[in-house]
Amino acid sequence: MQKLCIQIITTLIKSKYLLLLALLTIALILGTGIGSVYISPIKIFSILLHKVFNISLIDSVKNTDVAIIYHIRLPRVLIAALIGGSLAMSGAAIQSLLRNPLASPYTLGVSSGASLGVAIAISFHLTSPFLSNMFLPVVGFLSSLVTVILILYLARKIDRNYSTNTIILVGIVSSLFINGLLTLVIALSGDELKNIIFWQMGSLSLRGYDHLLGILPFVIIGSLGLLVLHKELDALAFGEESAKNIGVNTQKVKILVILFSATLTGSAIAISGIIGFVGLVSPHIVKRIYGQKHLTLLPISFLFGGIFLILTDLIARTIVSPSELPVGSITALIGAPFFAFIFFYKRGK
Amino acid sequence: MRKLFIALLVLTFVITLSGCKGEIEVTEFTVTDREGTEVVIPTNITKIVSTAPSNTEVIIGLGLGDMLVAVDKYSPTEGLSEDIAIINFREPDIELLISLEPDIVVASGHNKVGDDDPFKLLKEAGIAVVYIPSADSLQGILDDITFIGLVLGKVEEANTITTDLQTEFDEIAAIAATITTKVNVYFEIGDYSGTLYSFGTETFLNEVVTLVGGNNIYSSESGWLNVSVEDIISKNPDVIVTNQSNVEGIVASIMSRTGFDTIDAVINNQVFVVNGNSTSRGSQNIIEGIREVAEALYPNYYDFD
Repeated sequence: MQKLCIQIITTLIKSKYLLLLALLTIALILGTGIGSVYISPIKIFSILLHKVFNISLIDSVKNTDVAIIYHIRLPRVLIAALIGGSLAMSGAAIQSLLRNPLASPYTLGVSSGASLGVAIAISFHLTSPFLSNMFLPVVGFLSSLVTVILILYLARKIDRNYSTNTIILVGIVSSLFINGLLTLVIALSGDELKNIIFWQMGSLSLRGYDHLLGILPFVIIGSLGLLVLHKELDALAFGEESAKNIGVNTQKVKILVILFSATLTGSAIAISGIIGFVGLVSPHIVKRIYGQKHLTLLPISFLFGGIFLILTDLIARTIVSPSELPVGSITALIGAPFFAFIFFYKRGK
Repeated sequence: MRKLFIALLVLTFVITLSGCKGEIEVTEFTVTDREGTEVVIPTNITKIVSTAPSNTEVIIGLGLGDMLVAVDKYSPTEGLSEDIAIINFREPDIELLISLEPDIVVASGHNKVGDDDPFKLLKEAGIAVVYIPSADSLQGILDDITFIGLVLGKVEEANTITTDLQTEFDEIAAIAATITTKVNVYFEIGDYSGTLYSFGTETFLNEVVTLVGGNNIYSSESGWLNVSVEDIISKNPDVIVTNQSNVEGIVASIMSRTGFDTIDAVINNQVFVVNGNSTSRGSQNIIEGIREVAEALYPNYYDFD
């Protein structure tokens, strides 16, 4: 009996999944505990029990602790997990689909589309009383989706097969064009310039449960959609011809994968602003450790991206406390050396 | 201190003699501007360009509003000539400025992008350009007013303004000294897509808060700084003041921020908005801002009506 238990545990550890779940737990605890004030895991636990099951708080917990844990850090950490996960998972799918290690949903105009939409909304002072603080996220999400659909439409006009090169080229050219428009809007925006720039730098500050609930359905739809297509993605990763030979409708799969990925990335950056690097690098690291099969690659990328963004956001908001750094800059500053380390370490072996 | 400052400036005068039957006539003098650059100033000034709202307000306060031929787009224009030229705050239209033939340009450190001098070409065209960096203290504001008065030939007027201001500062400080329980203040100057800005020491706004008897919760920091939401919550200010008066519904939006409902200032309805212009411009109008902040923090102590 004892032997069996040990066997199960060792397989789990060997399978490297348990490690990642342990890391996620640690990241969640660190992310909620550390900040401008440290709050111990026992207090966090007490606050959670109090909020969920209405169990009375332990004495040492202050009202401000409850506010900080329950209203500020917890939603922020959960949002970081969802956003990091969405960026990484859609990155993995797009890289396989386009068979290009440098591709990401940003290549397909998702980020530039969202930026332009948000910049226009900010500089023309557009608001919606009905959506209130969810207005900018909705604008960002819709404009990123519209951009991707336009790019797909353009690509189809050029090449009915949606060959990967066409998609990448149309994506890049359109992104450049949209960035031109964006610069124009920013240059003419005057006083609102700061708002637009800060939005673009990416931040998870002041994001609450309404944002969390706002993106949750899109994250679920996008990630389930991609998971359902895991076999097709496996086939496509070997090349278009071989995928066709085993009966994959490559055109349909491409459109679906791009739309699901855009849903994931679009909803993520709609909440956080532009956060680079997570979507680009996470899939590479995950592939090196967990292999290429999409049934594992996609969910593990999600977990990895989530952990990565929780930890980088933790650094972004604590390293110069009481100030905060834009998390988008930290993802690249930490991510690039980390990526290099994993890459060379593996190669050295 | 101020007298010494004027004396030093006067010492730097270079008197140019224009030999007209032995009479001594001064047509220009040299001053060291507020950035430390030596500038030759003509004594007969009739056309002035002002490139920042604070300087424009000072110039109007000195009674020279009708000499302004161009101001930046943020400057107040009420009471000024209707055909006054409006220039960009950064990257001003140099050709336009030269065509206006001003005698002097009163520029701000804010006009610069990096270390580039946007008015270099004007200087080369022989037009006097004095720089006034944005003041980081109330004394700095007084010194700026004195300096502008000096270069524009209104020493007396400037002296009246600064003496009056100093008297009012002293009166407020005297009232502040009687306040026994001081409140902790979070003063928000900006909310850019969730990135919140406040300030520490070495800013005149910090002095404003201190002068009226408040404790800035960020007085352990210095300069302008962005602050995290949870840090504000953990510091639990008694009063929240913001000068984002151009943002509609700012008080309601601050009070409804998630987690802010545990802050004493929000619980006790002590969130106030003050005029953004008078609290952010280093001119004599700062006194308006000081009064607003004073009345927001201690309505029982201050009454300026």
